[in-house]
Amino acid sequence: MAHTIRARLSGAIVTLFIASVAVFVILRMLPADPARLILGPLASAAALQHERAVLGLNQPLYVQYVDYVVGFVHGNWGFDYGTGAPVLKEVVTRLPASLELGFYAMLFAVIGALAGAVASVGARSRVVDSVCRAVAFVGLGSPPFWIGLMALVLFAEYLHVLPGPVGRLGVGVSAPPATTHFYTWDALIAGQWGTFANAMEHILLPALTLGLAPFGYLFRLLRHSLREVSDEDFLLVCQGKGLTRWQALMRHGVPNALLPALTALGLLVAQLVAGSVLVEAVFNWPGVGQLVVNSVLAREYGVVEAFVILSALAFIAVNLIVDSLYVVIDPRLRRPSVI
Amino acid sequence: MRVVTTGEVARDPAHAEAVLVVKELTVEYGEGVGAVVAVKDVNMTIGRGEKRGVVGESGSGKTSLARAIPGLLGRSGRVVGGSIVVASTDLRALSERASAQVRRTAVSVVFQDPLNALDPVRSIYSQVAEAIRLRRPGGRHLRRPRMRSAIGALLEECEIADVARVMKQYPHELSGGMRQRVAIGMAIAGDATLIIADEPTTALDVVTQSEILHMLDRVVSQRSAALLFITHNLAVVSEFCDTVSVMYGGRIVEEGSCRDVVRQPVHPYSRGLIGAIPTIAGGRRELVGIPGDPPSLSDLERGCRFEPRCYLGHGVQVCCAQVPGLDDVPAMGSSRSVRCHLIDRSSGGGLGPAAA
Ligand SMILES: Nc1ncnc2c1ncn2[C@@H]1O[C@H](COP(=O)(O)OP(=O)(O)OP(=O)(O)O)[C@@H](O)[C@H]1O
Ligand code: SF4
Ligand SMILES: [Mg+2]
Repeated sequence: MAHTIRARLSGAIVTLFIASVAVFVILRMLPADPARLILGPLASAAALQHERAVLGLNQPLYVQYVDYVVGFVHGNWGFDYGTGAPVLKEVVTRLPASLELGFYAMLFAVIGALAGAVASVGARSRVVDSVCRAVAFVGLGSPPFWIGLMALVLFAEYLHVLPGPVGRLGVGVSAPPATTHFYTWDALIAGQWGTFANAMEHILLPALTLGLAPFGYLFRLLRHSLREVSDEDFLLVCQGKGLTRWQALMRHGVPNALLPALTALGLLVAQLVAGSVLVEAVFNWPGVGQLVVNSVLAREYGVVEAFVILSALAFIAVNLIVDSLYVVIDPRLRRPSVI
Repeated sequence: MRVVTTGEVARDPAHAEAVLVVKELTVEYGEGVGAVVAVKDVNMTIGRGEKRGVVGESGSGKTSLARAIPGLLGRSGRVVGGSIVVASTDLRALSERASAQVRRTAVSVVFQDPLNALDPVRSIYSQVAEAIRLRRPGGRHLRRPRMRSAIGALLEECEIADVARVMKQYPHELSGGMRQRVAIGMAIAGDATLIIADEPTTALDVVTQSEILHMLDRVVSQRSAALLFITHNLAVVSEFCDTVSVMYGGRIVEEGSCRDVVRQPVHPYSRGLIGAIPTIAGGRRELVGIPGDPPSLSDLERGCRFEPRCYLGHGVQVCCAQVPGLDDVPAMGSSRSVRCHLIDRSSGGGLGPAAA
C-alpha cells in the first residue's frame, strides 16, 4: 500500500514538473516582450529595461522558473497585464462558470452514453445504435469550436430557438443570489424559475458542444464493454435464475460494464478542460477558458501558466479519486484472489 | 414424427410423466453464409426421476442443446425450429417475461465453466439471495436474518463448509469447486423439476467431481426431478445416468438405456467413442480417440456427417448421399435407436467389421 502511494505521488510530481516546465519554456520562446506589453508602445528603452529587471526577466531561465514555482505555491500567480488584477483572483471569480459548464457537459456525456449503449446493446435498437455511433463519430472527429459555431448558426441564427453567444444569462436577467455560484442551482435554491429557465437555455448549447467528444468516447467504450459483458456466462446464469434478459443486463451487466469506463474518467476530464478553452470563447462564456484565450492573444504568461498547472492538478486529482473509487467498487481489488 | 421413449423409464409408471419434451430442435449461430447449425432436429423426452446423459466430443452441440432449452443461447445463437415443452408449457411460444417465469420455477441450469458463472462484483450472499427471492415461493419477503439462514441451509446442502464466511466472500475468493457449488445452490434454490447440468464437473478435480455428482444425484432423487446431464466422460455417464444420447455433429446418433449403450454401442461413432475393448469388470469402458476432425457445421449436410471418419461407411454411396434417420433397432430392445444406414437392424445391430 505504502509502495502504491509513493509511486502515485512521484508520478504526480513528475507530471506537474513536466507540464509546468513545458508551458514555462514555450511561453518564453514566444517573440513577445512582457515589459513592452505592460508599459505600452511609447515606453522608453530605459523604462523597459527597468521593468524587465522588476519582472526578473534578466535572470537565467531556471531562476525565473524557480521564482515562479515558489510564487505559485504561495498563491502569487502573477498579474493580468491588462487589468492589473491578480491572476489568482481572476481565476477564482471565473471558475464557477467553467465548473457549471463542465458539470452539465459531463452529465450529458455520461447519461447520454449510458442510455445510448443500453438501448443499442440491451434493447438491440438499430436506430439508436446508428444515431449514437454517428454522433460519436462527429463528436470525436471535429473540433468542438467548429461544432459550437455550427450549433449557433443552426439554433440561434436560423431557428431562433436558443439564445446566441451572450454568456450565462440573457440581457436584463440578473444573477440569482450566490450560494453555489452555479446559476442554475442558485436559481432553483432561490425559487427563481424564470432565471433558472434562462440560465438553462444559455448553458444548453455550450454544454452539449463541450460534452460531445466525451460522449463519443464514453459511448464507444460502454457499448463495447456492454457487448462483452452480455456474452458472459454469469449474465446467462442470472437469466437462468429467472431474471429477464433486460433485468439481468440492468442489475448485473451495467455495473460490470461501467468499471472499465471509470478508468477513462481522468481522460474525459482532460478532454473537457481542453475543449472548454475554445468552446467558452465561441459562446462568450465568462469562464477560465475564455480568460486563457484572451491571455494567449495578449501574450500574458501568468494566466496561461496557471491554467496549465491547474489542469495538470485536476487531472492528477481525478485519477487519484478514480483509483480509490475502484477499490471501493471492485471487490477484486480489495482482497487478494485465491486463484 | 416419432417420440423417443426410454426403455426402463417407460416401464415404470411412477416415472411415466414427461418433464421435458423436445421435438425437432434446431439451433443456429450467426447468419447468412457463415451460419453454423449447432443442433439439428433433436428429439428428446425426459421423464420424472430420469437421469439422461448426453455425450459427444467437443463441438458436437451439447452445450447448445443445454442452453437452447431454457432459452439462454446469448446474443449470437437462436432456436430456428422445433418445440421445447417443459412441464406442459411450450417455451418457444412464450414472451421473454413468461419464459423468465418458467426458468424461475421449472428449470434449473448449471453451466460448464464455474469460473464465469458468478457476477464478479456481487457478494455470494447477494447472488444466492437473488436466487432465493426469485425462485422460492415467499422468498421475496425474507428479511435479512431469515434470508441468511435460508442461504446457509442451501449452501450447506451443497456441502459447503464455513457457510458464514463464504456468504461474505466474492467469487474471485473462491476456488472453482466452491463456485460450482454456489452455482448449483442457486440452481436448486427453488423446486425446479428439470435440472440441466452442462459438464458441471469437467473443470474440477476428481474428488470435488464425485462430491458434486453425489449432491446432484441426491437432489434429483429427492424431488424426482428430470436431469439432463452433459459430459464427455463416459465413465461418469455409465455410473450416473439411466439413459444416454450420443451426439455427433449436432445430431443424436444413438440413444438407449445407459448400461446397454455403454456395454454394446451400435453406431460406428459410439463404438469409437466407447472403445471396442471390454474391461475385466465388464461395465466401464475407456474413451478412445476417433481419427479425423469433428465435422464443419457450416457445410451443407449431404449424407451422414460421420462418413469422412467412419470405418464402416467411408466412401459408401448411400452414406455420402442420404442423411440417415434415427431409427429403432428392434433386435437391441425397445429403447435403442441408431442413426446409421449400414447396420443390420434385425440382427442385434449387425455389428460390422470392428465388432469385438
Ligand atoms: N456463441 C457461438 N457463436 C458461434 N458459434 C458457436 C457459439 N457457441 C457454439 N458455437 C458452435 O456451435 C457448435 C457446437 O458448440 P457447443 O458449444 O454446443 O459444443 P459442445 O458439445 O458443448 O462442445 P464442448 O464439449 O467443447 O463444450 C460448435 O461448432 C461451436 O463452434
Ligand atoms: S451412415 Fe454410413 S457413414 Fe454414417 S455412421 Fe452409418 S455407416 Fe458410417
Ligand atoms: Mg459444451
